[in-house]
Amino acid sequence: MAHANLHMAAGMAVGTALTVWPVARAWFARAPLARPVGRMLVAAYALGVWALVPNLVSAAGGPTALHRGPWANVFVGHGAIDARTHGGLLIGEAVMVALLGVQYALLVAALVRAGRRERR
Amino acid sequence: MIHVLLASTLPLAAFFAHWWWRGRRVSPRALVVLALTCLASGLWAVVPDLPRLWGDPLYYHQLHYRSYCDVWWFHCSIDRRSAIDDSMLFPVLFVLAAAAVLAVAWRELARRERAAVGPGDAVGPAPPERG
Repeated sequence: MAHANLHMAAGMAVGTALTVWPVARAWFARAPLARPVGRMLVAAYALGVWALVPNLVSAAGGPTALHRGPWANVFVGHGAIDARTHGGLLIGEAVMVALLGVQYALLVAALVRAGRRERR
Repeated sequence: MIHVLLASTLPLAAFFAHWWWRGRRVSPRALVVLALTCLASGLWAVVPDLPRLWGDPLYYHQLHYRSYCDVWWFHCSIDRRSAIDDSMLFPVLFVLAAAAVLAVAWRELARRERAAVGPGDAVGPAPPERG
């Protein structure tokens, strides 16, 4: 069974990848960023938590069967990740921190840009 | 993660106090300062783990058995609890802390963009005038 950090990171990565295109389009079109960035943040964290559901269920004393079988892949490839690795603490942490860094930098850059527009 | 999370508690508390005191507004500078202080404090918290980075396990173990090892934000007291790595609490706390800071930054972004573009332009048509 892979570490919870790896599942969370996988969910966050998929959520970010699915919603990054509208953010890039708004950035290059100099359009407001709050909505696409908000959607990206919600998708990243919601899918991150969704990927953790089997861990949360078994931590609450529920069945561990949620981690196995092809249908476990509904939780952002949970079954496939668990079958492939039993670690993932460090790589999961690294991916989560990297994604947080990108999201944070994007928000700071968007705030600076919005501040400039506000002053005009 | 737990070391960095605990090390970030103080900068996060100061950031949220400052945000509240300034009428729930935040500047990009405050966000950059928060990131740098969390980074510095987090780096201090993982000093005993750093020798592993350059492949020096002996020094890594020595640091973990120094009498003053807890000066690095209680690093060794935390490491002695081996079950802590398997706990779900810290990924959850990490997500909550990250989501709270990102929410503050996003709220500020939405406010600034509304102020820059004017009511209605950025968030759809303006509501009809009443009366």
